Amino acid sequence: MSTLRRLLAVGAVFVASFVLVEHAGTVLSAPRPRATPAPAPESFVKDQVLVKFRPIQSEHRLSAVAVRGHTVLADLDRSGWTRINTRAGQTVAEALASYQGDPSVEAVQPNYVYRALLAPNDPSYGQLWGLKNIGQTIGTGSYAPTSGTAGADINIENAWDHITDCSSVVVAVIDSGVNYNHEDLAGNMWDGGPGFPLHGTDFVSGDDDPMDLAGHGTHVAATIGAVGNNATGTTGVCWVARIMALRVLDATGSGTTAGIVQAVNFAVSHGAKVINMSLGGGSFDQAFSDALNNARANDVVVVVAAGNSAFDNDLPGGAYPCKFTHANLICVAALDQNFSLATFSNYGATSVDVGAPGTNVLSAVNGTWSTITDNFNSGGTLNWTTSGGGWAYRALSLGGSPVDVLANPTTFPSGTYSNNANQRAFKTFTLGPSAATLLSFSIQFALQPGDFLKLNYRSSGGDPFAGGVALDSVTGFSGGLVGSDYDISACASPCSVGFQLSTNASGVDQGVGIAFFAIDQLTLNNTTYDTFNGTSMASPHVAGLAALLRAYNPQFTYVDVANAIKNGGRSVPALAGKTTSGRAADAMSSLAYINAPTALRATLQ
Amino acid sequence: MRVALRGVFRCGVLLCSITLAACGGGGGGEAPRPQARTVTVAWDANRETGVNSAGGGYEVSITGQPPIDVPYVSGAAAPTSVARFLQAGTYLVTVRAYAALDPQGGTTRTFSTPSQLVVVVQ
Repeated sequence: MSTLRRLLAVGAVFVASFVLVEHAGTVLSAPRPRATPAPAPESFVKDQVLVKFRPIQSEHRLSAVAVRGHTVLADLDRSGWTRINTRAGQTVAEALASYQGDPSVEAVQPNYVYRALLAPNDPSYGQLWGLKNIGQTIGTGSYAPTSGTAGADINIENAWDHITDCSSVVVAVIDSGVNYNHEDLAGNMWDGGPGFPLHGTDFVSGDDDPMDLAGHGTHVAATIGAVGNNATGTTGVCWVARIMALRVLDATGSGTTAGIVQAVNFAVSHGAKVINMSLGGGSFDQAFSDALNNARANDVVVVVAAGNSAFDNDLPGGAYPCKFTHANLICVAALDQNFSLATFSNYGATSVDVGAPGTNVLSAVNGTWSTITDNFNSGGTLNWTTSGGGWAYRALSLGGSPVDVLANPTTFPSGTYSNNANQRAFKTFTLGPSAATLLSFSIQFALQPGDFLKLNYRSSGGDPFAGGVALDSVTGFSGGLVGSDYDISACASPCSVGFQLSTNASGVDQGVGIAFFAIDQLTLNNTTYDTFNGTSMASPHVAGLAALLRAYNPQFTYVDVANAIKNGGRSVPALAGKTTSGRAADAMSSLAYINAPTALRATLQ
Repeated sequence: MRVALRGVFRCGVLLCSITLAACGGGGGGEAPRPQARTVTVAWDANRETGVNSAGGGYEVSITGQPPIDVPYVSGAAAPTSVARFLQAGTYLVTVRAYAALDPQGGTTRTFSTPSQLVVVVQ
């Protein structure tokens, strides 16, 4: 990988002119050298000065230096400038003053420090406000505001002056998988050797291919470690990384304890030292907790998302794993472009640790989606095939908004359905080739016990309740319009999807209303990027930082990493009382954070 | 004069103390007389790269004494001990780690918070 871009070093000419402009008063002129006050201490080498001698014999110059207790380190060039090491304990200001009045000295100045300021050349870097916020507008952003406050970012450029390469630290992304072929990730994937040639493994399908069929995990992975400074796409917090892809969420973004536990333990046993889990659920989970204990015992830092319910995680019902109290766990809330808490972000004074950018986050995704919808237009003719009657398009007000629905009964929700009904509605869709096909819709239902709404699909079309595949069956009360997602990738085109109201002989109720019907098809590609909102996007900023810290400090333990991130973060008013630290992730501050020495003892001789 | 040392080391959550006294060897009820002693202060090494590389190190504070700089010199880590000859008295000792890194990305020396306090009573 190449290195710099925002170069001061457009050559020595620029450096020289910078000296003249910025430090004109410190370059002393003949005939009488003047020592000037030393500039800010960070801007020069603390034990060196540069002295320009008049043309004198070499031994005289050495004598002039030695009499001050100094030593010559090097002659810079034929101009007469010499780099000199000062006396131990002497300040630079004192050293400069010591040459005052020396007739053999034409000029003296500090040995200023210049640093390259690293920013990558990736073309979309300017849209990554979380890494560098200059108040830019995120053109693809969907969360208001789409522009914010300059400096409200994770202060990564300063840290990049010290380290960009996290490849000594394996980061496991436990998620929906990763598009390991993506142009901005392929070079930064974990090498799993012959046992895991696809850079991870898949605990959903039980094979070794963790290809991302949801898009979420790829986005997360690229925030951690998209290849930086490759003139392509975006950059990760780490320019160079080793991303281990562990798939536990299916194409709809859903997973189980079993898969997650397996993935955590896999990551631990295969050398990961940082795990990111941008996922959550609502219950304490002992098996999950045990896996986190295993990670802790093996010195693995686990970074997790706080959740997107605008909920206080400290309360009953708070989201896990954020709510676990393991010392190796760091839970992350989402901040917007002004470093205000995102409106959707969970929080918790005792459960959520830090904040990080989580709105309008641009990153790589797994491909593109095409969508087939049915808007159930109540002005049109019902174009679903029905049998047994009962189904109709309706224009309703659900959840306070006008919504077109496919309803049963035709009077839904004011009427009631029939007993002993077997009423079907299905439709056949022509699908293109895809890596994944998802069915989604929202539904409101009120069904008596023994009465069911069933969902089936069938390859090659036709009535899906005659030889099709059952997807779901619901009864009871939804309490409002709720969303549902199903993976129907196995449905060969033309694919028919159908609903069946199946009722018994006793009891009737309002029935069902179905809205927002869509079939989404994924075409994988390696060049797509998208902008997402969520604590899922905040967490990988911190996971990347954890990897950066461990790479820079190879001796760090998980305790050191957690201390540096929590205590080294930047205080943000919006996080006060909402997180354990009141701070936002700040890469440079964390890099500069130093733990207090321990085990101090005194002994007598 | 032969000197026998009696030492008691106490350590709490936030404060440790080492109590030292010198005893005259002549017998006959001579009162203990404090003596100047060399005290070696030591601590566990920090794990930050910045502490254990050029520009890093430790600063030991002993009440009434100028701060003692213990800079990184070479090798894998900065030194983690320092010895000082102290007159009789009570001394509070702490140590801070530092590195040539600051939150703004410069090289201004950044310090840790002080270590746990040790009290030396001579």
